[in-house]
Amino acid sequence: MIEPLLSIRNLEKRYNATDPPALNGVNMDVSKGEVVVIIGASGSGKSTLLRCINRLIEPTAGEIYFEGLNVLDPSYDVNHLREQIGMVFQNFNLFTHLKVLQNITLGLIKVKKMSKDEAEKIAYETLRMVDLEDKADSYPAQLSGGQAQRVGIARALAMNPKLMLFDEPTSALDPELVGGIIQIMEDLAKRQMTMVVVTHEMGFAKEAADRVVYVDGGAIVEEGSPEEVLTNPKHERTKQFLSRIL
Amino acid sequence: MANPIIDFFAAVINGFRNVFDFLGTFSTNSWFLLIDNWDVFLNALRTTLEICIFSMLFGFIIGVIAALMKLSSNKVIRVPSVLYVEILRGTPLLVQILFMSFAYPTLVQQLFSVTLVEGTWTNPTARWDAIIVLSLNTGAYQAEIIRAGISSIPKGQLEAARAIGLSYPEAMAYVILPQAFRVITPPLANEFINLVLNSSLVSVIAVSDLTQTGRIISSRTFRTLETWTIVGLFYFSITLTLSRVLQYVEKRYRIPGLGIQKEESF
Ligand SMILES: Nc1ncnc2c1ncn2[C@@H]1O[C@H](COP(=O)(O)OP(=O)(O)OP(=O)(O)O)[C@@H](O)[C@H]1O
Ligand SMILES: [Mg+2]
Repeated sequence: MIEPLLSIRNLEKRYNATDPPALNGVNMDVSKGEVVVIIGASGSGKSTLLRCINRLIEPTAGEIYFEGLNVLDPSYDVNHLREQIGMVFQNFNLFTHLKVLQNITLGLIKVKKMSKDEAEKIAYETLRMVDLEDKADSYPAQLSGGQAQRVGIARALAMNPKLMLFDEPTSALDPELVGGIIQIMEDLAKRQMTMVVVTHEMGFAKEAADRVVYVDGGAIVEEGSPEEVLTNPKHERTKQFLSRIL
Repeated sequence: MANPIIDFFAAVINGFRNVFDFLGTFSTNSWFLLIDNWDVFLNALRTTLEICIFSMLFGFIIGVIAALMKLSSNKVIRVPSVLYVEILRGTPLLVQILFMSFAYPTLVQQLFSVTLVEGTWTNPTARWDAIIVLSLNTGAYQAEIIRAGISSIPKGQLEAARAIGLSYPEAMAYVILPQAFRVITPPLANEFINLVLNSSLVSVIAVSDLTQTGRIISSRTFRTLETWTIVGLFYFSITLTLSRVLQYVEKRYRIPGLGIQKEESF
């Protein structure tokens, strides 16, 4: 049996001892090349789950294995983990003080220890993929939302990650800009990028997802192929959620 | 007979005569005391500049360190920094200067039985006393400015920096601080100017800065008006230059989306 790229076991996260846990025993496997879409209501724990994967949030219990290694082990280098996992944020989070090109080269130079020339070569290649070469010299504040998110994706992609995490990458965008980002993500999926995507874009889920996971109250309630979960949900809560967003 | 209108005009004329008399002093040789004492003033200017530049530099380094310590989640690191900032900002600078110069040597003597030279007219270390106190003082104010600057940077910036694999110190150095410094240039410039003005207080521990020199020259020449006008102009030229330079720096390193965005007005 091929071991999954990412394996999550009984993951629990409590922000406060008094509050109910934000994650309550999540189990999930992601194989190489797989696209997993996570859906769920606001506050259900989607972002928390995603952020535990690259340890932006420290889980309070459970295990996460990346390539078979327990990343929560104190001896595991968290920066090395993050180097291999790209993350795309809802609000882009581009480095405000750096031009587009430097936003992309920073990680290559400081984390991957590349020379400036090497890094810029890769940065231009990645920018070409998202069709933004002409914006290399702009500052983030000079970009539209759609352009900024394309840079956000390019910044993550340039690191040549084994896994990409997307946290609602289109929900801060004007409706007419959503399509461009979805298109880039679908292309990535076609090129066998492993992706875990939190999104409410059901079009993307139907088109690109291998698996859809419905999260409620910090736990996975239902999962399966897009057809199974989106068109024939078994659970009452999934039905209610889908009827609200469709 | 008292006539208010005539009284009024008399007062006005009298006032004008005083102004002319005052302006007249410029043509007499009393203002030459600047030229006569040029070397002394220049030395004093150099001392003041030296003290200010060193204090600014040390204060900035202290400020950055104290700000980062203040932001630490570890109490053992945070508390000393909080105490330092609160104490230095909660006591008068003059008291701090006097403490450093007079009380501190006594303290050292009583604790370690080592005799330090006390702050007197002949104290060769007075200048360093001044630099140390001013550095510690401005460091506390700068720490607060820098901390506020760092806190003003959206949380997402640190997350994005960590997410690409930068360590916390790297994220601070390459992402957070470069942004914070741009945001805080105006308040930091303000603090630099305050430092120059505050530096005149070190004259009480016999550092031959501009103020101390003014005191010596005015008591020697009895030309108080001229002396203190000249001393004031020296300070004014320092602060004016400083604020212009910092304005230039702010403009030069301004980045769209960071710091004060000047409207296209006037
Ligand atoms: N930093 C935090 N401190 C305390 N509680 C938090 C924190 N972040 C999230 N929570 C809580 O954890 C729960 C899950 O939050 P999370 O952000 O993961 O939800 P989400 O599914 O991403 O929601 P949304 O769709 O609104 O982004 C919520 O109840 C939230 O209030
Ligand atoms: Mg969320």
